Amino acid sequence: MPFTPREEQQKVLSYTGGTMGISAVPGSGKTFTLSALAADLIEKLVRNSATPEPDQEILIVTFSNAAALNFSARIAGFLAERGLLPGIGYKVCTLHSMALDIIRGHTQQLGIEDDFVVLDETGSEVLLQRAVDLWLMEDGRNIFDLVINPGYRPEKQDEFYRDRWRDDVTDIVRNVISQAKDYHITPEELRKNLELTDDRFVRPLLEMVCEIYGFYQTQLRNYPAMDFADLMFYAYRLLASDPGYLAYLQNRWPYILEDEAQDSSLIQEQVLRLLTAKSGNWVRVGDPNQAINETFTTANPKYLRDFIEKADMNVPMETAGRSQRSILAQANRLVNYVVASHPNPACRNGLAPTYVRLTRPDDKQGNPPDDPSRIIYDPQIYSTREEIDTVSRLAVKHVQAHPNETVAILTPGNDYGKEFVTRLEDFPVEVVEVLKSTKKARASADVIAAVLDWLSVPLNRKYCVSLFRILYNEREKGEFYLTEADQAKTIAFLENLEHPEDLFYPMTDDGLQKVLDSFEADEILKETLFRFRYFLKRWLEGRFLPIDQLILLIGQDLFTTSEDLCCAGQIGILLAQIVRLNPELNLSSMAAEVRKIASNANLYAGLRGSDSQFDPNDYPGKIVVTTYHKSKGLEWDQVFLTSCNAYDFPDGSEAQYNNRRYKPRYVRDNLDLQAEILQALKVVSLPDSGLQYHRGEGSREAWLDSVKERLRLLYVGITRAKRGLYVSCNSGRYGNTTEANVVMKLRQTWNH
Amino acid sequence: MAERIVLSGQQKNLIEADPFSRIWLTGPAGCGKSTAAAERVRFLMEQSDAWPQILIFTPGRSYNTPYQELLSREGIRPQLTTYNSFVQSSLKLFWPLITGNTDFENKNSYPMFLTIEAAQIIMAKLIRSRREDGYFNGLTASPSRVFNQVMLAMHKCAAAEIPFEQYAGLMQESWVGDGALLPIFDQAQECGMLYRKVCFENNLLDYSLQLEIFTKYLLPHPVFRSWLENRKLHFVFDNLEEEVPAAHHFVREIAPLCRSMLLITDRNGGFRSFMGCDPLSAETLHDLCPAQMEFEQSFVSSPAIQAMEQVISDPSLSNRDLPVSPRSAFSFASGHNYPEMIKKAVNDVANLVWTQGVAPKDIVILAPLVSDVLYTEMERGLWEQGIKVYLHRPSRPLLNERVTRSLLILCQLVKPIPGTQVRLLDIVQMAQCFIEGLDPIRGQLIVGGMFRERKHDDPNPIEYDIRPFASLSEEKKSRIPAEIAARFEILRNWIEHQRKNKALSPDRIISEFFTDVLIHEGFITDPETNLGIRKVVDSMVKYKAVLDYLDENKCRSGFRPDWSDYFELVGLGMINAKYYEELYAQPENTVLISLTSAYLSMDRPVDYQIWLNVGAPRWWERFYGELTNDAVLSRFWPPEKKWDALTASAYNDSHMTRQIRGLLRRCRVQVRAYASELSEAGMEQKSKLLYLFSTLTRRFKFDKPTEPYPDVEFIQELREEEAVYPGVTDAPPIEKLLRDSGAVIPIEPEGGD
Repeated sequence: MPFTPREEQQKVLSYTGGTMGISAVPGSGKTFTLSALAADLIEKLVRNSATPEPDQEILIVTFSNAAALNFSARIAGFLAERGLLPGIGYKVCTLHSMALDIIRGHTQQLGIEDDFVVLDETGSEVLLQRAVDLWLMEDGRNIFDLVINPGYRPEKQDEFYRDRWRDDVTDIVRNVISQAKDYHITPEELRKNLELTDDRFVRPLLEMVCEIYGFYQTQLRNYPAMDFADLMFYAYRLLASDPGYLAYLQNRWPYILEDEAQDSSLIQEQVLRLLTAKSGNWVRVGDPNQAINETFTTANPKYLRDFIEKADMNVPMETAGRSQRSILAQANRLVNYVVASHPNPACRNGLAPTYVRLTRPDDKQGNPPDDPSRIIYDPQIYSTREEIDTVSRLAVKHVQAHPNETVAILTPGNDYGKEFVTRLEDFPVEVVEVLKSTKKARASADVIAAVLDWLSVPLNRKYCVSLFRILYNEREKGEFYLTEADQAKTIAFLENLEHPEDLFYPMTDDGLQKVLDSFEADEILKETLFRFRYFLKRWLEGRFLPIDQLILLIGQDLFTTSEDLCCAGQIGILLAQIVRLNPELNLSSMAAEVRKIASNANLYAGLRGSDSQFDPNDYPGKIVVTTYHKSKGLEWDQVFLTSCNAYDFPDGSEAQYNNRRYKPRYVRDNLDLQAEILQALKVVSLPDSGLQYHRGEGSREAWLDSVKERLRLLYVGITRAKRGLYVSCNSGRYGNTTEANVVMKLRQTWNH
Repeated sequence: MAERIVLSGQQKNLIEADPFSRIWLTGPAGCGKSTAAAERVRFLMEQSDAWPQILIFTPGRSYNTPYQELLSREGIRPQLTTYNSFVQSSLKLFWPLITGNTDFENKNSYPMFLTIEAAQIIMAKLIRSRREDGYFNGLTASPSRVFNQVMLAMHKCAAAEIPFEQYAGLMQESWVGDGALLPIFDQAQECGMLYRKVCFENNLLDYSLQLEIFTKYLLPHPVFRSWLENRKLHFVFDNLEEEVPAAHHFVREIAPLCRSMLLITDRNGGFRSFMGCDPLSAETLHDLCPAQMEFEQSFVSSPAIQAMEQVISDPSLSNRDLPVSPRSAFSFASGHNYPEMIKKAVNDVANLVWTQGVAPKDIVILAPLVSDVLYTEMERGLWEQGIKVYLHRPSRPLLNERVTRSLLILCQLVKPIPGTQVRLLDIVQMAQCFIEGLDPIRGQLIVGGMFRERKHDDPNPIEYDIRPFASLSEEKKSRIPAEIAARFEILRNWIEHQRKNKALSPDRIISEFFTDVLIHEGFITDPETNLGIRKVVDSMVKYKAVLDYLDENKCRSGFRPDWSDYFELVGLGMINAKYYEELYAQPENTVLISLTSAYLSMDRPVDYQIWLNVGAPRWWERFYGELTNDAVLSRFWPPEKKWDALTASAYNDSHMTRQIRGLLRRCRVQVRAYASELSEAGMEQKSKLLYLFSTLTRRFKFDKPTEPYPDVEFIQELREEEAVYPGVTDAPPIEKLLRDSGAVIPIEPEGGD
């Protein structure tokens, strides 16, 4: 369908230069409009320059890989329509990829070896854990004794120390180190500034951070490697110190378009500000009401709000055609409730007073027909088990009644989502899981682990059979597909193969034939066995290779999608790292490591992320289970919002403060250790700001911030629905939680 | 006998020029400079009364071909050497003349010439203690990288004749990076000076000192000069641009002492600048030669390829100004995935060989980095199409090569070395490397049965007891062919025997392995194994000579390197000093797979070049090193100029253009470029070369703006006995391919550390 821009979209497309801030409500077509704008600018760049500088590009940056892929596809489409070469004249990437692009080739100026590796979360976690261990060896229990709530019995304290302390410290310092990098402060600089706080509680904690941060950076240096936060940190340093390079990049990227700008952090904004300083051509699009990454990252929507305020052009995109009228009404009622009457006045700026408008009747991308009956607030407070059961049944029923509709169940966390997936397996319906690490990524890791297992003991028939099972059991794997009967037949053959060497390395010319004679199967099945044998031998002979290369080789043989290949790449890098630390590691231990990675961690597919393009429209008649967070940017006809209780969506009351979500909970005075350290870090990192540390303030602020973020999360959840919305509530893990205040208000006034 | 070449008029003019003239010859690659120079040498020989008076310098063995052909054709023996070898042999010859002037403490004995490995080990030992004091903390680099870089910084300074005392100042003055990193240059200089002090105390002479002492003391020495003058030299220096400024200084100094001179430069060369070689410095020598000649005409490239080179060197040239269209000079295909790209390139090569009749040796597959994955995929893919390949990937760490790694494992089995670990899998792989007919599965079966980890308090290093084959269970024994068992017994007996001789050094262990074990039937002694043994033995013998020398001369440095240092450095990725692969001639009927940079150093034009992975940033990026930067450590670096990213980018641009032009000059018919959007590890990639191809495509193939991977699946129809069926037919290991194709290794390598 040809794109007919609405008035506000037209305004965006009229942009020719300068700063432009766009606050876009969900469903307002921002990706489409921004892609069209990008295509216009690319066309001008490519066609109008008399002597084109071959690598001049319109730069489009996004927060997530899903969005980057989305943009790439749309822009390529627009360009193809105009007879231009897709891929030329622009670059679509995430902010992290952009930073990597800035650094690569200029590492010398940063004192970084050119062969550096970018470690993803899983990779950097290994180093961080080692840094924490090194610190624990030096510190003993001093810091723990300082922070533990003295009310606990000594045995209980010992138990916390033994079971929890190491992991909790790792969690805390991970975020604090990221924040320190956002402030561009090194461990050495941090140490120098420590004197800026003399609080007896937090000063030793900052010293702890300094130590661990230092150990961690030393390990990264010796690797040599960078983590994601380093990418932006070094990119900023490079641009700030080399005006010539900055000028070069400013010329290379004459326009920068930034999507999801509400999720940008301070340092990211600073880097983009430097890059656009000369041309001033910077378009930022985002929705402050969808800023839901503050708790986990250093992102903050206030940077976007400030930008919009000062931009040359300010275009609100408030008309949305995605959802039916009654759903939009829920979103607007939520905004209205928060802004006007949230019980805690400090939370009233949690959502900006932006209201979604319906499209005009003649709009080609108009709203679906209004149907208030499809908005259901379930008044029942279920137990978690009941909620899972009820919502699963309703979702299944919905799919059966509306097989052409797309359906999603949103949960606050991955674990709760997994419980839904398990329950749904009891019904005759296909479930699509979009949770922490994707199932596909876990499956890739499983395959690699199975190969390593077999390679460690190629004599072992059991390993050979499991590898066969894992390779030939998935329908989507195309050439690896076998019917169950054929699979069983081949497995029986492999299980009965007394001496595997006779199959793989027959000693006589007719040796292989003899072995095969015992395999009664048709030609196709025999060919499958040959293929299996071919790969296994190839990998066996590749055991000489360094482990990362071996894994890549296996990956190249088995995988074709970039996501799978990225997983193989990441696993390879990670294993190479582990082998470097433990050169005596054998292949079966490496297989165990791969499994650990797959089960415990986010298996990111390199810089492309695990969130590679997921299109809900590919799954009509199936049930997608995902988290509120992961649902951002996606849309379904019918959405089930679960767990709408006071724990997951708190209202910021004093009573809830004591029952809030924070870690670790065994800390004295109800303090949020991470929030306290972050507060102190801010004080010592920004000495000119005049800030002072006051114990407890950080915990309280963090609490309020999280309350506000949960409101935005609910907003995101509601606006995922196009036609139907079902809101349910449970009483929490301990059965003591009530319905979220905000949901109750929405329910009461709607039903009324 | 090689074919007689038809010479051009220009070439004849050069060859027959006055025998006493001084000629400056320049031109791009492939225009017949070296061929003419070799003929000129023959001409001079015919004119001359005594043949040894001709001295020819080239930058290395790979540049010697025309002169070697002359040598083999006519039995002529001019002195053909490199500047480094000449310096080393001159120092050895004249050492007593100059020793009194040097800073060496022991002036009465000959110095020890250090190999790069030995020098690295000493430097690593010195730097380790400094690192513990916080030196180089600002660097994000592996420990081995740091000492390598300091070493390289010393080499580059010596090559450019910059006193190392000025190193830190120069680097700091050009620095625009993080100010906090400035002290690392002082630290590097301090470590370098400390290393040098150790050399002076112990009479050790590394590469940088060799150059410095030669230039400072020997070159001006009247005795040396009159020795040179009395030889009445005809002096030829080919590929001057691939040599260091110190060598150019040498040319200037000996010019008045020579009877005639022929100085040759490749106008677009400069492929060894990462080693401190400097085309600009070479260019300054042209004033020594009253006769200046320039060759232009390419004897290699087709007109279309020449047009493509013209467009790349001057993008503003209009299509009308081109003599022919470069349209047929290249094809460019791009797609999404890396494996897909490899597959298509394999099909393309197979198609060229089997349907277009191109000889495999007339094809080269090039990439800026040849990873194990890329090589394995190409090798297997082409093998399935009935095509053999030959890999040229010089300067790999000892540890990354199969044979050398296996030999080191063997040493550690005989003599466990603290700090190193041998796994059972390593033993299997070692056995597979040397025992003919041993497959990985039976290897595992037998090693698992015979090798038992010895229990003791300190598991570092792991030691193994080896049980006789006879002690294995009957079931296991029945699965192992008798001849394999016998070979394992030979190996076991030999290890046991060697273990008794505590004084045996690792180099002896390997030499004896060769003479005691590998000579037996059933052990592998193919060219690859022999080469591996030579590499390791040579490296170890030279290291041992240093150890012995330090012992004899009572090491004065408060430290003494030993064998565990050697193995530690190998573990850290120590690179073998010599370009041994150059000695390993490419077998007939193989397709060459090479690193781009390594290929450019070979004088080996081909009909078709397959450029792989043109989206890889490494086509454009050149790495300059954190502590060494050949641009800054050069005579021509203007004082106060900053090495900023823009300068680096300009250097990269010219580096890429130079490389591409160099490649085109070595291509006769067509370049076939392949790109994939994703790298080997699935990451998105783009390079300036990709943009270049997109521009060329837009300009000359506008009717076909996008060229996806060709759809044609090429499957070679082989004769029944040659047919290869994946899974059914077993892939021959690479060494078998090489054996079959009769790779040749010259007997005696020339020095050139």
